Amino acid sequence: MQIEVNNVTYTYNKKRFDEFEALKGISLKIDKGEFVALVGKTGSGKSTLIQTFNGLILPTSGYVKVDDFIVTGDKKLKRQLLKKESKEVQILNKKKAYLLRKKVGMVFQFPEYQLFADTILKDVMFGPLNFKVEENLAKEKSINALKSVGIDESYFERNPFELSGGEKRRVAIAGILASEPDILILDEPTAGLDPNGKKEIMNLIKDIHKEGKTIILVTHDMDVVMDYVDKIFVLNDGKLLEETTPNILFNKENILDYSLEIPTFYKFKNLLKKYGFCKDLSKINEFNELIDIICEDKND
Amino acid sequence: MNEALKVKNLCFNYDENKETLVNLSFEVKKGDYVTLIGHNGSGKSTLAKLLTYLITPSSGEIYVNDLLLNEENIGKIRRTLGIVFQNPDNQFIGSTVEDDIAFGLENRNIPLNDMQKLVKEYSKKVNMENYLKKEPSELSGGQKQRVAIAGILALNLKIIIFDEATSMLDPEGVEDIKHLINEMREKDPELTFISITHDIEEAYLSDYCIILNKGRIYKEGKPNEIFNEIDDIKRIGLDVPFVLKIKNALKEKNIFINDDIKTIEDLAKNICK
Repeated sequence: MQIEVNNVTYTYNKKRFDEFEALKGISLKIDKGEFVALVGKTGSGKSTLIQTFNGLILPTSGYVKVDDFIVTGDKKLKRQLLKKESKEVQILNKKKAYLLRKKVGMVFQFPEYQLFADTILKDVMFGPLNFKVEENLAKEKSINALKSVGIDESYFERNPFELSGGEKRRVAIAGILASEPDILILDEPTAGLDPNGKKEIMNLIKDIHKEGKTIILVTHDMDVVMDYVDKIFVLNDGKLLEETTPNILFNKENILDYSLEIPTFYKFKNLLKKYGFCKDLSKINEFNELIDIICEDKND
Repeated sequence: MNEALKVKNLCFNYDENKETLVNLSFEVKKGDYVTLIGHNGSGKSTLAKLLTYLITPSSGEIYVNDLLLNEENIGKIRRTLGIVFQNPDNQFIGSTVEDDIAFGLENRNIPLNDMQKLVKEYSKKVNMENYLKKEPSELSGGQKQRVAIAGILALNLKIIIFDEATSMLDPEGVEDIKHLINEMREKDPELTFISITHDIEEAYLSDYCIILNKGRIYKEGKPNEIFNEIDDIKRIGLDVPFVLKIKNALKEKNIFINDDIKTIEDLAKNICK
């Protein structure tokens, strides 16, 4: 088990008048090399949860375990866990935080807004240098990362602000990859991209996954979930509603209750059912199959 | 004057070697729901910035309600035209939700009592009435987008532009905003709504659609007409709307569906009848 989330709660502004409980006891597990998505409507706790995975947020109670790191803000629990767990296990503290952040790369929403250096290469090198990698090695890693996201060498010395939106996003992802994380978390990686840009970014993420990295997506884009993801965690109101797969989720009778943007194909299938389509659609998962069954029905 | 917006021979380039917009001319009829679609880099967002006078054209003119968009008229024009951009972090100005919604109203010297009423009314319409005292750091991206939308809708404008303004909302949220816009358009038939979007399905439902490609108008017209030229649509890497895809696939098998059917709901009803 690579990531273990154990009964995690998180309260913003604790003991203030505007205290708000964003996570209300979540437990889940993610294996090494999995490609998973966290979905749920705005305010369901997705973004808060992923920030506990690299210690940007410490759970108010419960804990997250990433390999040998334990992330929690609960002091009592810390002491208990230290006694119980094996010697390799470390509790995350400020000094060690960079080790966890190196392991868990996080690509935030609109990462292109975080580019800042005056050349593309320097921007990407910032990560490894920050993790105390020696300059030449940092450069080598950054060049590899840029190449892996399809940014040509002729771009390296250019200013990142000259790039298009999709290219900037790829540079921002390279900036995280250069630190060679084992786990890559991406918050809405396809937001604001056109269909081609989306495909490019998602195929890139797919390639990164093939190298053996664990991929965790936070997304509203159910077409992406359908086409790329193996496992889905559905969050609602700070709780885990369900752990499932795309095919099972989108074929559910009560899918509309989940307030997810289901792919148009499945929306249409549901509407056909609603208006009394006579044939069984539960096994139909392809466009051509759907056309065939409609024709069959019309010809009967 | 029947046009809310007239664009004449508009050109824009960020640097000398690269033309971002090349000789754009189009008109938007008052009261229409117009979608502007195209890839990243097609010039859509540059056009949005030009329409709101955040940048000025290299050449060409823009008329808003027959008034030339320039330094002299911009104050007047901003009273009738407003925009909501994609990234809510770049447009959250107030220190709290209520301050942010009130910001535009304050600029218009709306009396305090009316302002408080409007802030309440519009925060409710976007389901943010319980967050009035919250700071932007306590809000999700989608919630900030709702606030930005409320701030613009409260201004009682004649032309509203959304530049991917609902990209961070969940589907329920997107539906809520669509209803809200429809409601406002019904109330004021002269309200013009321009949506810059990647959503082909949305474009298919609009009154008029303009496709931009590489800084030029690639196609414009009624969605049923322009999307039916499928080879052209696919050539620039756009998708064909789902309803049209189904209709065309069925047509090949000699099942014909009426042109008026545009939503998946109507299509499902028609097939099941």
